[in-house]
Amino acid sequence: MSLVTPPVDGSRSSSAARRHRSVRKSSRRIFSSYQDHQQGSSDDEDKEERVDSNDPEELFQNIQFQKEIIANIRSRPWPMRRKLKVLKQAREIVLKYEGRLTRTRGYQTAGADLLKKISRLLYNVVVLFIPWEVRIKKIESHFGSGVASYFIFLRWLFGINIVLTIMTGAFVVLPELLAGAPFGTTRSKTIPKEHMASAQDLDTIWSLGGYLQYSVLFYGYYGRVRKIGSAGYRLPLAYFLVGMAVFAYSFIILLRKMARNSRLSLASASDENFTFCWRVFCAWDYLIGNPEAAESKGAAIVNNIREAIVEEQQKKRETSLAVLISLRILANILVLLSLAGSIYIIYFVVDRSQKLEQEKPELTLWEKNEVSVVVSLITMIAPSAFELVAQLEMYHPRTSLRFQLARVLVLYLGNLYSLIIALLDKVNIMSSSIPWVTSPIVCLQLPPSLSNWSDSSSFLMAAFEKTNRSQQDQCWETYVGQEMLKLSIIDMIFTVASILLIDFIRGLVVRYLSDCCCWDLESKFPEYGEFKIAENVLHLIYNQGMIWMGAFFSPCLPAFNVLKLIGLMYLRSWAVLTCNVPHQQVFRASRSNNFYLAMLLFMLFLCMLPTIFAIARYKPSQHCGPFSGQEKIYDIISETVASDFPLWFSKVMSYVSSPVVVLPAVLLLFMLIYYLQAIARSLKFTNNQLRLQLQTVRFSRECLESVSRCSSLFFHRN
Amino acid sequence: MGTTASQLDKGMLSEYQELTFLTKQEILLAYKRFSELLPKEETNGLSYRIPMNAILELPELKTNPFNKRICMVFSTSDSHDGSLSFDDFLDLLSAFSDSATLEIKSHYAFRIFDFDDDGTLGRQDLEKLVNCLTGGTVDTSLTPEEMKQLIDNILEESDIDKDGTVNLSEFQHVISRSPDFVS
Repeated sequence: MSLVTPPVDGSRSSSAARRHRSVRKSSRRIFSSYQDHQQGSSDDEDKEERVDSNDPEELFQNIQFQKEIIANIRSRPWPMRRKLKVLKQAREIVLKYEGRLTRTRGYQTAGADLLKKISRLLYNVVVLFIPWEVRIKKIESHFGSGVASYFIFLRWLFGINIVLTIMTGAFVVLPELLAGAPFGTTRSKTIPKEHMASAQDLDTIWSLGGYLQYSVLFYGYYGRVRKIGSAGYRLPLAYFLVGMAVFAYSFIILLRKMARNSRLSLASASDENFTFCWRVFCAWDYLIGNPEAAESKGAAIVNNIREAIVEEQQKKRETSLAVLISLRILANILVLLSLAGSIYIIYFVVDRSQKLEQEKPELTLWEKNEVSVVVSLITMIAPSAFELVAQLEMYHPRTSLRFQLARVLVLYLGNLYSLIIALLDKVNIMSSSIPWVTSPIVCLQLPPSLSNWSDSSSFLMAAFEKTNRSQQDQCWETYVGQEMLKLSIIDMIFTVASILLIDFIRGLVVRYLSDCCCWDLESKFPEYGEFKIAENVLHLIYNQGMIWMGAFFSPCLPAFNVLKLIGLMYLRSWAVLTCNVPHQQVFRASRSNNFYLAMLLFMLFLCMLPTIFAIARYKPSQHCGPFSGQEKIYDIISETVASDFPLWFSKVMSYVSSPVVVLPAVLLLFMLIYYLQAIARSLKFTNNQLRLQLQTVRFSRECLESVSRCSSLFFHRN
Repeated sequence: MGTTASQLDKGMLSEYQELTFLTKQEILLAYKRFSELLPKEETNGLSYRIPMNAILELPELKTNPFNKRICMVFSTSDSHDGSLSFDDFLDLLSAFSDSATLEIKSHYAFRIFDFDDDGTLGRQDLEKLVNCLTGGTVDTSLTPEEMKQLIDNILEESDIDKDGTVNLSEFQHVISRSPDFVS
């Protein structure tokens, strides 16, 4: 066992150490601290070192080495007694020699010690603040790590949304609330007169009009004054920068997490596939704590192993090939039809709502919320429909799960995109329509029929107000923000409703009606539900995509999402523990799985595009928002650079952003990517070579042994 | 130590934090759970060894198919009876905690799977391993042909130097490539 250090190796290396001590001491020592079997030798060495070294630099190195041992001691697979002994030894040496250090070194070590103490204290405190830890551990023990991975993903998204909320809140919302023009002063902040009467209706509040529309919730409220408050806070610039920073932060944190995960698993680095080893060595989920889950896990492992053996032996199914293929083609056609259908329906509905708005002054509740309701209904129903269709295909469960995930992802993306395209169509109409400035002039030329001066003045006022209203209403950014927020709210309502109605009622029915019904409800249809990990994770990703799409136009959207995620966490964890049973067939969804993160990254990229497109293409509204009056939203940057920075800076910026600099930089990046890929390929090749080398070394060792045995036999006989 | 058995010395607490991957709260919680298993008359919790069958009553270990091996591996008792002192108990928790490194986990996993303690995973070890995983009953365990096929496949995948057994480095090599092991 590795507990007992092999004495032969130890003594050999200690004699070698004695010989080379003066030459390569420090490098070998640092290297040897990560070698288990060298530990015995370094113990002996330390006793010798204690007598010799007087050189202050060597002393410092020695102390650093001992401190490294102390820092790394918990990574050693030794029993506690041995760790304690080594720790005491190392601490003795440090204490003994630290007194002999020079003053600067002394301060250095004291600083490092303090830092270590503080970081340990901080770590103990930070762990307290991780939310919902007990809850997740409970779910883990009942359902295994697959289901818990959904909740851990939810918690991570919650963290991201909190940071986004803090960013938008601190830099955009708060300054506007504290230092911006208060409600009712400017045109963009007052509710127009004809809407005033209905501003407090439930109807209006539900469709986010009235007071909600003219509040910090939406883009339209923010003033365009370049500097506000006594400190001269540049709100429009901050608004733009925070909008970009939201995306940048999300990208950075997502990429960082993916990089960390791939470093842990190393699976993406090589295409080695140790299916059997993994199924046996990594099969048991050590987090399971109750017998029911353990039994089902055991059964799942047996199935897993059996099916792997079967796959290996390549036994075929008995269904005839032709029927299978035709069924699969049929299933794919159905799925494609439904995807196309859902995209068309959404586009049609948005179009219709636009037309209705223009024709009828008063809309019913259904007509106002049609778009969001239809989208949410589709996202609820379609995945189950896809699952039913997938039963036609008769794939292996893992393959069908992958197909299901891909289809649901395409559905979500299609929905979001058709919605945003329809919205942007309307935005196009709104932002390019000519403001109705000519109307008062037209009215002034009306004279002959109007005898009463007051009549004409009131007519003038009415005409002027109508102009104002149409101009005020032409706030397309607020409109987009409203639609996104509405979608998010209704999606939440549908999620809550589906959990309560579908899972909970199903659980109740199975539990209490199984006595009255003629067949056992608990083991045949309808059974208790299983927690569908993949689809729920996709739904979380879809939700986050919505937030990213709307964050620029509605700064409070991340805050709303934070509340939504909290509610979702509590509701789902309650539902899973009350209404669901552990899976019968367990498929891998581990914590460090990069698959969901890759999908989130894809979603982030795609949801960033519409915002960038809208910023680059459309003229900001004339009368509302922080960028009103500019030609393009991003003009604020060039304006700031031109007016607030010294002249040479703007010259430098114009050089940097010209094609002369940008094109060579892009070319350089491409070359770098190609170079890194070439290195990766060569490393893989080296890896294979080393593996072959191992085999040949072993083979040649065996040959040598057999040869030496033969020769000894030969000499012995002679 | 003080009169109550539920108090851990502060010095020992900081030592344990240094030597394991557990946070302060986790160590205190572990001490509480450990002292619940102590017999009533025993006051000094740190030096007493709890016998294996008492440890196996813990709900977290009860359903684990490798529970006996885990106790044997982490036990430092001279009589090799699988009894755990508090130090061993902390070692166990530290190795299974979230913050433990891959090297520690794979090292202990190897020792747990090595049923005959010979430093390598031979055919008997692998057979016992699979039987533990699948449960002991007749209908859940594999047939001999399936077992042979499975073990052949495992050795083919992981045995790099082709000596018929899986040693620690080969095991660590396989495990480090798995995306599931760390969790």
